Amino acid sequence: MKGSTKWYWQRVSAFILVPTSYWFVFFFVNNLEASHSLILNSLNSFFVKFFMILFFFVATFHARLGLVTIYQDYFNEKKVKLYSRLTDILLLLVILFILPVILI
Amino acid sequence: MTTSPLSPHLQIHKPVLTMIFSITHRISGIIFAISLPFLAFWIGSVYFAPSGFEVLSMFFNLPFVKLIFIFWFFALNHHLLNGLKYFLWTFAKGMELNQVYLISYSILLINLIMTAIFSWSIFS
Repeated sequence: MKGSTKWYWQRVSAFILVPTSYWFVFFFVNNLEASHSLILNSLNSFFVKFFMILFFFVATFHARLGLVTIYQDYFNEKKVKLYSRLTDILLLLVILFILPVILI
Repeated sequence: MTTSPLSPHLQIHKPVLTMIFSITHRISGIIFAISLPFLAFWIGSVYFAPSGFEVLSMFFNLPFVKLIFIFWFFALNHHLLNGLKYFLWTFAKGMELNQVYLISYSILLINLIMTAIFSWSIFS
């Protein structure tokens, strides 16, 4: 990917993340002490599912772009590749964990 | 793969406000990226491990962990607010030195107020 393309998508994803991140923090604070049945009930709403998926998918994308940019600034090519793969594994977990929200 | 030159070591820079806000933007971004799998697990466990969710919620409600969440929110909010500054810069707005200082100190002040509200919300 070209540097300018990355730069552009980093900003587009950031723009989406401003409202969705604050929404997630709000959800987090509201459900910190929630019982299992209560949180399951709120996760049944389409609105909550939509924002949850949007937040985690866009945050994962934004984090991948940002982290790899940081690696490229401070490490040599070999390390950039290694750290990028490790980041992919970490972020794949995020997608796997959040998948039930769409599937169920 | 790009073969761009590597950044010089951070410690050779004189610490100025813009540089501090730039490096803390990166650090807070890394902190939030690391927290993502844990947050996703918290949500996912509602479906695939209901008892695991209860244990995780109990852990999240420990006063010590709540204290970590306050730092987590401070970092996230710094990243978000400072990100808005970069949005302005994208459109070449707010780049005069006095504006940069005003915006940067505003970010810190707004973040402190918002973090205080966040702390109050999770502890009450």
